[in-house]
Amino acid sequence: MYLSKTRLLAAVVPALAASVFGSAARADETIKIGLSVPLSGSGVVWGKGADWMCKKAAQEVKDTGGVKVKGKVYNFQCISYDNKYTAAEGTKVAQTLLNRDGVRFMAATGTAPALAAQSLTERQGVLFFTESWGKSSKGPKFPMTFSLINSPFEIVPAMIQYVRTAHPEVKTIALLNANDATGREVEAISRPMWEKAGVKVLSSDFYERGTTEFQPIAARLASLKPDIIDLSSVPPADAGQVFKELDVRGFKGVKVTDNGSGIDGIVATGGPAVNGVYMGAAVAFDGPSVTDHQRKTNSEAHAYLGESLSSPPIGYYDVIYMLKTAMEKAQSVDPKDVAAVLPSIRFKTFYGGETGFGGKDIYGSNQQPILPVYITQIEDGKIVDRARIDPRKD
Amino acid sequence: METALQLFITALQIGAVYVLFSLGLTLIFGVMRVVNFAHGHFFTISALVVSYLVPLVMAKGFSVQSAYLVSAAGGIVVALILAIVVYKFGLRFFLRDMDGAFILTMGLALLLDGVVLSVFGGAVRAVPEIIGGTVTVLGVTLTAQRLVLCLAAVIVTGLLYWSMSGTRIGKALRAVASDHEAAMLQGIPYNRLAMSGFMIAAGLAAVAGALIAPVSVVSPVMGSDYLMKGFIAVVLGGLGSVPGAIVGALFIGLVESVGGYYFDSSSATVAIFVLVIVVLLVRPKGLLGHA
Repeated sequence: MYLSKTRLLAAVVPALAASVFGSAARADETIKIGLSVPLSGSGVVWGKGADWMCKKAAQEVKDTGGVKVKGKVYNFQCISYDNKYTAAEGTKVAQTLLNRDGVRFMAATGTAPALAAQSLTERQGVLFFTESWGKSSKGPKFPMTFSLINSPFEIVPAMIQYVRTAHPEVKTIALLNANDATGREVEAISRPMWEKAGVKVLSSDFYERGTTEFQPIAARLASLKPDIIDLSSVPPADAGQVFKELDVRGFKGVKVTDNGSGIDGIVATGGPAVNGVYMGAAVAFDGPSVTDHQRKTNSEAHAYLGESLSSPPIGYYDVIYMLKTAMEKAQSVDPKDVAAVLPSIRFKTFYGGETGFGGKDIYGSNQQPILPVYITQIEDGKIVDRARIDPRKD
Repeated sequence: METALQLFITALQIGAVYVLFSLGLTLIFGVMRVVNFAHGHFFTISALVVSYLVPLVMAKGFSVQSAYLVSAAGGIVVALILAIVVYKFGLRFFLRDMDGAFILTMGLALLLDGVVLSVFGGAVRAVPEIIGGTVTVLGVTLTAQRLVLCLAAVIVTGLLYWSMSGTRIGKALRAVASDHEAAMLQGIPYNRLAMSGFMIAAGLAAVAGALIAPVSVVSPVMGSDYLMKGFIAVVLGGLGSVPGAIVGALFIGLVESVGGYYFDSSSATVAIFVLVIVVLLVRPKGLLGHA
């Protein structure tokens, strides 16, 4: 059959146009998420884990078709820089992410770097997720800020209840925190809670991050003869050293670390001295309630990090699903639109199932994810589940 | 009394490593009349190499003690190689040039920070226990490891002290530190001696790093804390004074021990800085500094 040139063009051109514009419509766009995390020092296990989990979740979202907003498909890209857990580096990282890399969504670990970043993100309308343990970075004054993990407000009451039940004889406690924004804010929260529970606080000490010599610290703590020693905001590697020095001095009381998360770090530096330590932010990946997905992801993470997953890195998995759900609900990738719907969404969490945001009674607005609290204990170098408090079931 | 003894022995343990660190710094100043801000990296690299090598050597079937000795030797060698590079390609052009050496070593310190992080990663590492158990000294309990660390530091310090007065190179170093022009007139090769002095200083820092690795947490940034305390010790004791460096380091250890016990660690750190200011106001050359 003879086709005229005109008819041929009429058939080919639309097909060509469809393939060009159709493929453009199908081309994935990228949403950059900036991560300000410690990639060196004693907090490195949180930072490297955060980067890994963010990329893991981003890949999962991509594999399941991406984020669909107004006919376009978006995928996430996680960009991480080292904030060294300090305000100075946190500021530099924030400026790099916001001004050079142009990210509109950002997350940070560490109160000091988070506060440093927040001064920029709120002004620039960037949606910001924080793992800072303090209260000062959350609330109605910070509408673009949301939390990623449990804080002392959620963990410490559960820890106190468990310790008082398991050890009814305890009456006194000595606290130790890092001398920075995280430590100061955590101390301001946990100290009154212990006192309210009827436990007398014999001392509340601070030490400089970066300290390598913990003998004087341990000597002082041991000399007070407390029933409990709580290393609230002390990173795992430092906590192991403190417990090791306490062991040399014969301390036999209850050992607690509320933000205790990385077991490998604390065991590596503390050895047998850390057996019996209660931790508030570690997650046990043995047991019947662990899902296949959790077990498999943890196994992969352990191979890469040399450490099991814990609450801080897990938050960076959840943030991807928070954003995906909120963007699809708002049908927008504008940070302000996404922030407006976040309090009302229910998102997939690594802890299993779905959850949403709450915390208005504590923070003044629903910016805190409702997550389970795990009380675990170290036994022969392994984490053992002692209690799980899941507010979603209340 | 037991508390006082405990604090004193803790001070000795803490001060032991600071002594080795500070001796290197003061030796560099005494001979080369410069300060070296990259000194902490000799310490750090030695400790990092030890933390890396010990598990590898143990995996070959060696005992932990043998693995540690081999790894410590390796750490010291690597640190000395770095020192050779730093001297040959940097510091030898800035002998007796405080300003130039200040800028050079500050830049080197930043460069080495990045290199060390890239090579070793940011993770903290722990070295397995080399000598287990605790010992009781004068009623005070301390780990056997720490006791050995103290003894090793005392031996190294003693050797250095003896060599400064009992060997040709030691006497030459003292002569150069006292008056380098007069020493050169006597035929002492200043440039060669400067390198020897720098290598000895780097070696001391490397030994300190190897000794501290089993009792501390090894990280790529651990040197900065010791560098700060080392400078304070040297300034307190007097730049260029070997006895001054020892006194200054032990003083820092005492303040950390006592201050950390009766107040807290952060207060002890503040106290150290306050005491340095007071000493420098009263005696600007340091406690044992030369006129």
